[in-house]
Amino acid sequence: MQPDAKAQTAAPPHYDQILQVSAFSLAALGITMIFIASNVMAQAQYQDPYYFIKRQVMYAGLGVGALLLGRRINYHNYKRWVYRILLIAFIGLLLVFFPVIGGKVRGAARWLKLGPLTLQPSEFAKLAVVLFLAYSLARKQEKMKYFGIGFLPHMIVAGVFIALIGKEPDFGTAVTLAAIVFTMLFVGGTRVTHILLFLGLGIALASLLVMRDPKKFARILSFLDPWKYGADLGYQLKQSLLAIGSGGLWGLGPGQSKAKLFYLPDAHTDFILSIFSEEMGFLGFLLVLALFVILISRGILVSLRAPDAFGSYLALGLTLVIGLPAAINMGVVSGIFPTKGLSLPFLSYGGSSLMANLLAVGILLNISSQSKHLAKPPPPKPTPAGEKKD
Amino acid sequence: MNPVNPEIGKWVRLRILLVALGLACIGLWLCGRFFYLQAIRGPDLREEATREHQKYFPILPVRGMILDRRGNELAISTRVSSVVAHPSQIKNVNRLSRELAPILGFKTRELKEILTRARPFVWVKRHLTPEREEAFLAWQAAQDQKTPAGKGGNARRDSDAIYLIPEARRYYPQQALAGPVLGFCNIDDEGLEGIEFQYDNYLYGKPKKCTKLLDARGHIVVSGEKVWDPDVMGHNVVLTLDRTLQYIAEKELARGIEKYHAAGGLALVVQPQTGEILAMAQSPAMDPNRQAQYSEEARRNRNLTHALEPGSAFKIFIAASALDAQVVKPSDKFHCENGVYRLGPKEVIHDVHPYGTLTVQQIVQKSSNIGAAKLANRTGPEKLDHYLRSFGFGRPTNIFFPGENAGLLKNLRLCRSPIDRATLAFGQGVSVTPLQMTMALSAMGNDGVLMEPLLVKEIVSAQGEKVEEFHPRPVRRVLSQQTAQTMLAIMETVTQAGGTAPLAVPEGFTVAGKTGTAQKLVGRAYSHHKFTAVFMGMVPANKPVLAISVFIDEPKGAIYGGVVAAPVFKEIAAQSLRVLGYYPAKELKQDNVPVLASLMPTPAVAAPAAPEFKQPPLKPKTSKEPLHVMPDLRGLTIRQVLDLLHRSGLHCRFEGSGMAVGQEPSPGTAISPGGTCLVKFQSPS
Repeated sequence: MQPDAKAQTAAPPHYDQILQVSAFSLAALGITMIFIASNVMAQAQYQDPYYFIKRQVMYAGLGVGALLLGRRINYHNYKRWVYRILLIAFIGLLLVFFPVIGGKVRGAARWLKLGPLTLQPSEFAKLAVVLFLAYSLARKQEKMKYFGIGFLPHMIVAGVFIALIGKEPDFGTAVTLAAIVFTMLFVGGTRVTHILLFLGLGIALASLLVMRDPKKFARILSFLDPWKYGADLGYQLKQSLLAIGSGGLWGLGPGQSKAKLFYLPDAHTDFILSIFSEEMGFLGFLLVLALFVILISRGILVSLRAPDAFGSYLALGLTLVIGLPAAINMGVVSGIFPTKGLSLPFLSYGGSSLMANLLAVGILLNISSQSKHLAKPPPPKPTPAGEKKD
Repeated sequence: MNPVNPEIGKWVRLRILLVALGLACIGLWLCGRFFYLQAIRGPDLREEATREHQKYFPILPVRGMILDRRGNELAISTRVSSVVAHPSQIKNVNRLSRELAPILGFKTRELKEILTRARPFVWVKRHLTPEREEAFLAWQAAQDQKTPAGKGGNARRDSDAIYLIPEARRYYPQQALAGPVLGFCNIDDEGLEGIEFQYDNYLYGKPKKCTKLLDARGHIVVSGEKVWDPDVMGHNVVLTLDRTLQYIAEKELARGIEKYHAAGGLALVVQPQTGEILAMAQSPAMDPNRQAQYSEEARRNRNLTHALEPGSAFKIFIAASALDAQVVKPSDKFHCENGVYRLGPKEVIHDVHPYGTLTVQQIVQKSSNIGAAKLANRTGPEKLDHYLRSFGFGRPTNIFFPGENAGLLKNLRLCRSPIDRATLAFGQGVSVTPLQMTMALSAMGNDGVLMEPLLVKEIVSAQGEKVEEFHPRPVRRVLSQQTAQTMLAIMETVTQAGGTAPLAVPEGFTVAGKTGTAQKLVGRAYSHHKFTAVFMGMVPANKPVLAISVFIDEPKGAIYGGVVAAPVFKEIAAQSLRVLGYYPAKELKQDNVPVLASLMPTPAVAAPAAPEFKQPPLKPKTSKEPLHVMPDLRGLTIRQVLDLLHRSGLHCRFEGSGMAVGQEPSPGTAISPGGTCLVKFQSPS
């Protein structure tokens, strides 16, 4: 499987090279795409076509540092730091509401300004929550089926984080985090009835909120028929669908996107995949999908092969941190899911997201280096790998 | 490491695989969704997107140039910007009007009225001056700063609904030179008068539609800003006019008019062998750059739209008819009744000077009315009618110019009254255009063959290919070669001592010509105060290269063609011959040698192709208070420079377009009218 890794033998621990390569490929592709998708807009807005790409490259540098760091630190150490990390993440989420340090953009308080850097604490908070859950699930193991032990405490901790993120507001990230939490609890052994009950409750509450807020309700409506609402509410989705459709099988060619000429809002962030699909066509989309499938399947593999339960849960959580937003984002731009502000990992513009995702990959690599797959070859990777190898 | 935490159990492992399966399902779903969107709906969506991203734009045509025979530009198109708007897309009209009114030079109320018209598209201001254009661009840039590139469709700004489009604007760099010939255009670049009108089909160009990529703000994205798209450029019309000869004719005509305080005048210079019109001057004339300021009379090309009575100049055609019909010989004698010829009880013809017996040649030379009447009588109405119509009188010349007047020649065969036939012999009761007269005269210089007048030499496409070429076209033979030669000899005596026009002869040349002093019709009677002084002739007399006619309208002080018009003829002839490379034979420098064809001008072989003539200092009629010092022109528009220099009498050459950036001579230099200057322009961008 990894012959070259084996050849290097003992001295340097061998990491999952496929995982690493796919992550770097995605990051590199992302930087290219951000430039292509943003230069026109950056020129108009900042009189500098390289405005975004300069920043993204800087964050990518920091992100590679984060990856190397995560790869180096033995993941077992996190068990000792888990509550400190959780506290820092919590404080970070609180700080965005303070005007001095927090930056408000388009009415949302999601960012912290630290000198030249702008950080989005919610991206790192996701990692912290995953870390906490992995630690807690691994410890409780058998007791997970008890509501008071296996479900409620986790829901309270995660609920606070989700609520804070939702308050920013960053509805997309909050929902994603909730999905990650539920998935991890499900894997960890919480009773499905608890989850379903809570989920049903949450859905009821959410629909109530949506129904009462005409803005959000209209958003749902526009999602259902973007063509009808194409002039206002469905505008973004309609433009996204037009862009994707224009791409056809082979794409318009690199740099030929029309949607990026201010037609598609957020072309370099949430909707970057539309631009990519427009320029590179269905084949381009398959390439991106394949890279994600490789990344996620390798992450699952790491989870299955981890030396201990903490490692398994952590690897699964980190994989979900990357995989779930990716899946949801792709669904959003293609009109499967309702529109919400959610970026595509690695590809969308956003320094914190890139750094957090590279850090997650770093930790995954560290776990992979300690896997005990020599003992018995794990079951061959299932579904996803098969479907994209076409 | 940490023995407390064993590996995960079988069930956990299974649930992880379940999650993986779930993700895989989503992956498959996405795959199918994208395949549906891109492969199946792809073509539809692309078409729809294209409809949204592209827009059809008309490309306005660019009018072709009008050039003189040597390629000098007489009419050109320059690029200007116009402001257009889409009123329906403007939300806050008040704010926009307030901001833009001072920039565009409107009152706020006026601008608001324009911007609220219930039309999808309006012209706000045509042909901006460079300053206003710059101010408008600055305003646009400020708008972009204020609200940077909008998001999405509902964020279209008001300022995007009002913008500049390039247009072509007609400009006549030679100012008033040949103005009535060139004509002019309206603001939409459609020819209204003159050549501009007649050749509008060729000049107008081909408007084109093109698709341009628009961004969501409505801005054109890829604006391949070619200076001019050759596809939309009209053809260039090359005239037979020679700018230099035109200038000479206009200048000398103006001088003659000024000297005799005349009301106006006309002058034509034609090549007898080809019928090409080399100069077509008139006064009053107009500067097509500012045509609206001129009277209708100044705008019309009166050389062919204005019919007048030719007076005595018409006698040569009577004489030629009589000779060609062989009813008389040049030496035949007629008795001229000592100045008073009674045709009937009340019908009397007078001569200015009483004459006894005159030969045919003398009748022409002395311009005897009675003699001419008798010649006409001898020819007979049928033959005379035939000849005069052969000469082209009473019918259009087919010059292909708007508004040509055919003149009026009554049917002599049906004309019973002898007095009518008699007066016709000296040019009363017949109306002709100067062009008809000149062409008929030219026939005598062209061995008796009447040519069609040519004003346009060729039509050339913007890329330089010939579209159409106009060759000299003979209309018919009017006279035998013999008669034509005889007529030249007879007409030469007019300019000899004893003739009516010795003043017409440029030094070193011979001239065959005829004077005329026509009484003008005022109401229904001939005026005794208002005359048209005429001289028409050809140089050199034996082998004419130029046929020139000069008409001076209502001269005061002197009235005779030989006094008023002949000197103008002489100046035009002398200067034009030199420009064309004909020099007087020095060794034979005797004035007025009485025998035809003793002088043979030698065309100078090494004549400069583009002659630089030095004109004597001349104060143009139009300058009221001439400038004596060169003004600083920098920063002015072409129009402003034109207006300013108009008073200086300078002959200007302009280069480029936009605003003046350089000039020669430099500001402050003393200048005298008639000098030349060069002004360079550059567009502000």
